[in-house]
Amino acid sequence: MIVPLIKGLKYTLGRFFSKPITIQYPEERREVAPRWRGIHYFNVDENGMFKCVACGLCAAVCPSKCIKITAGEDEDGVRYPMEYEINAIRCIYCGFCVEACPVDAIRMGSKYDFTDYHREDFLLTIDRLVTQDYLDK
Amino acid sequence: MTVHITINGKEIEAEKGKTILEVARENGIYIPTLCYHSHLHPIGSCRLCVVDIEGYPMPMAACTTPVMDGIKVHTNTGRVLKMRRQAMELILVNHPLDCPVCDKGGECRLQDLAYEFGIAEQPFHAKKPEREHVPFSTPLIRQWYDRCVLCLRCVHVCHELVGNAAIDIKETGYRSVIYPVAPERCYSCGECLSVCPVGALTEAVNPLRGRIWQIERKQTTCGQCGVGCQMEVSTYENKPVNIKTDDVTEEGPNYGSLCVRGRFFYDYVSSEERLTEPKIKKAEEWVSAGWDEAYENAIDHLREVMKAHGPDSIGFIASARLLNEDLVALFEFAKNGLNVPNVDTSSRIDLSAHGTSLTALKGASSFKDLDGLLDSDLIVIAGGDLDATAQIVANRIRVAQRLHDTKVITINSYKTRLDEISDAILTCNSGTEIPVFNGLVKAAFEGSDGVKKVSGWEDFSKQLTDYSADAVCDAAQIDREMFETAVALLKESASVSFVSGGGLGQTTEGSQKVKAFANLAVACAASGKKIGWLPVTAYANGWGALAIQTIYGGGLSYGEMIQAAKEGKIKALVVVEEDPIATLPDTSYVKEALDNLDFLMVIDLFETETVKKADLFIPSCSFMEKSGTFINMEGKKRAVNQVLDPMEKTRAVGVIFSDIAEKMKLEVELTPEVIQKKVSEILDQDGLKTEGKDALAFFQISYQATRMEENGHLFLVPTDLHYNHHYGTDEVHASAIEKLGKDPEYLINPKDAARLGVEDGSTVTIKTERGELSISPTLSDEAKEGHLVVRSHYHDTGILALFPFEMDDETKTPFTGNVLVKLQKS
Ligand code: SF4
Ligand code: SF4
Ligand code: SF4
Ligand code: SF4
Ligand code: SF4
Ligand code: FES
Repeated sequence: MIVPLIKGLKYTLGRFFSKPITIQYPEERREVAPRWRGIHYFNVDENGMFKCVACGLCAAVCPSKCIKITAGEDEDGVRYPMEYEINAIRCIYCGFCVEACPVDAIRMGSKYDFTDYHREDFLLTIDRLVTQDYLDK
Repeated sequence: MTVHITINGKEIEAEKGKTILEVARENGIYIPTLCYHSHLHPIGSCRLCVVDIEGYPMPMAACTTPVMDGIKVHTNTGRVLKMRRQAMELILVNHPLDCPVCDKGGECRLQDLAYEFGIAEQPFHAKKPEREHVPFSTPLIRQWYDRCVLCLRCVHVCHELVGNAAIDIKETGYRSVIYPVAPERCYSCGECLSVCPVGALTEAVNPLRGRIWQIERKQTTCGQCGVGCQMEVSTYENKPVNIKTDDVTEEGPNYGSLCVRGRFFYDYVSSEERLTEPKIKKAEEWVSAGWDEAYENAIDHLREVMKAHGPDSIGFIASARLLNEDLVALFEFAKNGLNVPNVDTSSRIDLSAHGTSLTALKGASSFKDLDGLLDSDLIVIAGGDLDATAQIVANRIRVAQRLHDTKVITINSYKTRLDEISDAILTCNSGTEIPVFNGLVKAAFEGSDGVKKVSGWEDFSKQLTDYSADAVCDAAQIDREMFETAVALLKESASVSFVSGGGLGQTTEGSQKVKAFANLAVACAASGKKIGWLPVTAYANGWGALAIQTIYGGGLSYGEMIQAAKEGKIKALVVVEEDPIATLPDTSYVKEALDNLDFLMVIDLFETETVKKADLFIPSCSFMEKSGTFINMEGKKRAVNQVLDPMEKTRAVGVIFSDIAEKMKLEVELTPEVIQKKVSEILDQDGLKTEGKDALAFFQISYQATRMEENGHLFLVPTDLHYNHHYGTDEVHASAIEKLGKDPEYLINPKDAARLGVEDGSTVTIKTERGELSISPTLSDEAKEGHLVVRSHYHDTGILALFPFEMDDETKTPFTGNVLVKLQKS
């Protein structure tokens, strides 16, 4: 009877004096694995320009149909997204879009918590995907 | 004749002359192809369709090899599979991995084939040739050299169907490239783009792009001219993205072809310049209004005018581009609801002259549609440059010539592109068309027995005495040999189609010119020939509008209403999607007439010149934003399907009139069902009603050769004006127009130029009693001596202002042609 109790207390005491495994969220954040599928962001090239060519593959593959792309072509025949929008609430963070992207334009970051007051604030547009303004929300 | 062959062991009875590929396809046997296109002669450039034939050492291309009795074909032997794969790998050597940025991605034949063949990589490598980029033959198409698989479809379509040969293959081997060899000949029709199986030619018109999985695509009828081409509009978020014809049902007048207007001018419907709110003019300023307010305004004004001056003082002018359903709603509202007698449509402009000849000739025609052109031995074209106005008809004529060796006669007062394939080019002096037609009847049919049995011949033949070949050739200044050839062709051909361009009916003595042309057809029919009678119409629903306005009958015509407005007899006008200022002759006269009105209400899409003068403006929507029917130039019903939601607050014309009728509590009921019923009473299930034909008879022609050539005077010949009234109102807002450039061309014969001392490109003034215009003509043989040819696709050249306001006695069609201008060096 007493022996298991002591065993248990020993474990408790042991934990009591060891390094804690809980973290003080939200002051502290947990490191995630490199393959973590967090909130999306746009990869940029050496000139700071996003790489998306509006091929539409991410929108095609997305199972929750939460990516909207309006593709355009400029005067030189270069294809670009006139509009790009991910609805971060509808997204199921499957990562298919990242896999489908032929030019490594869309990536998923390490941010896993994303809170805000309005639904519209969860629409990730080109600007937001580049600047990642949501990182501190 | 049939032959018996086996394909993969299956015994097949096949028609002689067909290719192995065609027979295989008919029997559901798959053979991969890349360069083959069903509308073109087999090209045989890709070698993907190779098949084995027993007894032959090497595989053969199925697309070019005709079937022969007893051959045993195998489509899937190891050898051909290997050859095909190698052919594919070679095609892919230079093909870039461009799919993500290529417009064709998702609908690309090469993608499909690579997927089908399971090619993930290929073993060959080659150095890419360095090339300087040369602009393609049209600014509306962008060429991507390295995506090209050299299938040659584009070159063949431009040669065979369009007859232009604007592009060709240049250099050899791995340096071969599709090159704009004669860009000045290009019509920007986009046929090359349409047949390109890959993304080597892409559209450079509208920046919006859409992948097949992002867009919706729906078939409808082109609303830009009377041919009634079937096309598919791709839309994304309520905007048109592109126009395709790949999957349209084969029947239809165009067989997958479109002209520049249909293919590239579509984006005017989503133009930012569209007016989307009703507006009321208060103290010379436009004020936006709600729909109810606008309706109230319309009702108050119409009631006021009606009370003060009676229903006779109101007029309605509608476009013949409106749907049958819109037009019936409008006619019901005006004629039966308000008892206004004066309602007319713009079919008055280009079809009324043909309306008179329609019943007899449509009845006598063996060929009722454009396909009849392919069955004709001879095609007679008069009064228009079909390539500029109804390119699809011109394309069909070229196909007829290529496939059936059909002969062609062209009768015009200027050179046209179809003259190139014409066997008898009768380029006559402007205004001498009637002597030419009469002369042809006399020379070819005077002695024949058939014509004597037809009523009217006796009187008509008396008229003919003045038209001996000598006299005609002299008066019209046509080549005697050409005239004789034409006569011989008319005599010997067993089936003849007559294509009448808009230019006949809209010029001085228009109704007589059309009748004289019709007499030629009557003479052919009377001599036991099969005939086809095809007037080309500018307005998408020209025949529908004419049928409806004929049924409702009475009242003043389009031009007469303007005259009456000028004289103060018409006090209120309702103008629906028409722009009289841009359509009628004598611009200042028309403007004064409109200024004279107490109330002008205009329903339109854009701010036209007429809208600027309106007291009330109501926005309507384009043909892509509503459903209904058109009757095309063949007299066939064509379905117009709604592909877009109406832009913002705009409403279809039919809806607008039924709304107003309801608000006014008029006795007429204008629900869709009632309208539908009325339409079906006026029109047949599949087009114009054909019963009640008149018997075939010769028309009596009144002709006065009054116009004499005076020194320093030239005939002003507007070549395209007759067909393109709407360019100025709708299509001019298409982004393609910007790229194509708007400047009109004025052509003058070098001999005239020398005589008048005009140098190439110098500025001169042309003058009539109505006005003057400063132009800089180009010296060109395309203008006949004594003529000044204007080539423009836009109305705003100012030449309309030079014509006097005159109308045909019979048809009341205002004249826009045949005017003498005085040319002065400035
Ligand atoms: S992660 Fe999945 S659900 Fe989210 S946008 Fe990408 S494909 Fe769509
Ligand atoms: S993010 Fe990548 S997959 Fe998505 S449209 Fe852009 S380039 Fe294509
Ligand atoms: S646009 Fe038409 S005319 Fe011009 S090259 Fe292409 S097919 Fe030929
Ligand atoms: S441009 Fe297109 S149609 Fe022309 S040869 Fe190249 S791949 Fe064929
Ligand atoms: S020919 Fe007429 S109907 Fe056909 S595409 Fe051109 S404008 Fe449209
Ligand atoms: S399809 Fe026969 S050679 Fe191209």
